[in-house]
Amino acid sequence: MAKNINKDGVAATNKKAHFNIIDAAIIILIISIVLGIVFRSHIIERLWAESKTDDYVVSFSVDNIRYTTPSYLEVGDEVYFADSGDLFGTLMSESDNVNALNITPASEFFTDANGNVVEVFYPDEESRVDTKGRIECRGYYGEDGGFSIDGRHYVAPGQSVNVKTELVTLTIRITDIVPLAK
Amino acid sequence: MKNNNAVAEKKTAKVKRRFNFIDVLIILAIVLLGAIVLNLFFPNGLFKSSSVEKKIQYTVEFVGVDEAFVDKIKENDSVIDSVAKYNLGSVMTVDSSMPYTELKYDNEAGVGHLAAFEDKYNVLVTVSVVAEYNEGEGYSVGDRRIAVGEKLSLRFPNYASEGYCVSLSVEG
Repeated sequence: MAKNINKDGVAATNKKAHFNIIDAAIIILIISIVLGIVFRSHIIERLWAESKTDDYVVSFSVDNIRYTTPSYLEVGDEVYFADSGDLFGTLMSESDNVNALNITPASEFFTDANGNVVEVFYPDEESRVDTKGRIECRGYYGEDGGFSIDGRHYVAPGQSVNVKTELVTLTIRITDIVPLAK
Repeated sequence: MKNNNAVAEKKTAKVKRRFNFIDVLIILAIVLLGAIVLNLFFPNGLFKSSSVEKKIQYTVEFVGVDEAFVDKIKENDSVIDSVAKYNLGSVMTVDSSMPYTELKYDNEAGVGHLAAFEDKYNVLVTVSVVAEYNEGEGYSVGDRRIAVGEKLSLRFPNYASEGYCVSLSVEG
């Protein structure tokens, strides 16, 4: 049995839905969340990044590694950020030769009898070595002047970055970033 | 009276909240929010490429192992990841012939040389395991990546230590 039937035979509980303050609050909340994520993650800059993205060469060094490690790196290997798995770039030939890395004996510093700091090299390239290499990547310089790869990773000379290829995990120190010569 | 109730029930049943522009706006905002979040956390797509199983051999170097422990690792010993508890294979070969050395500076001669420690050795343990291979990612056993340069905390039946992977090859 229906309750509160009025003289027209319509239940008094019938109310037409109106846009009210709760609806407005929900919409404002959702828009605020979206805008918060957009500005926190620099999405606007990333959305416009494609037009500014170009090819760059990132030079790096890796010091004091086992002499066998460089043999697992080849020109053309794809290099990824070790933490996120995002693509960093592609390993290029080192400037002076066609190999992926320039290899020299590693060194350590000692103090001699006169108190002078002396750099001492490992006796050959079959113990510990220092290496240098280059990675070709796509990135851009943001408005703040920092270089960004894919809009997610900012890198700069002096920075140590954990990277990986299919066969190797390395910590590289970035030494230079220049546009790719075309 | 009964007819009035019937009519009232019909009209009550007909009254529904209509799907309106505000609902469309809310749904669009939620979809946009979801797309942004997905793009942020999964820029390479939601689904991983399929993996292939391959039998690999990898060698781990334990540096500066005390002489008393060099014979603790035997062929066919099981290899367990000390942290994740994964089975990382079985030992194929053990090479403990290399003495542990450190670079020293000879003040008198003015040159450096590698000085060997009498009672310490670098032990190379070669392990065989079936690993998952993903293109672009390399080899892994469970969540444990196997790659040259990876630091591994390994446990054997009679020995446990940390070492670095120094070589990797695919069997067959």
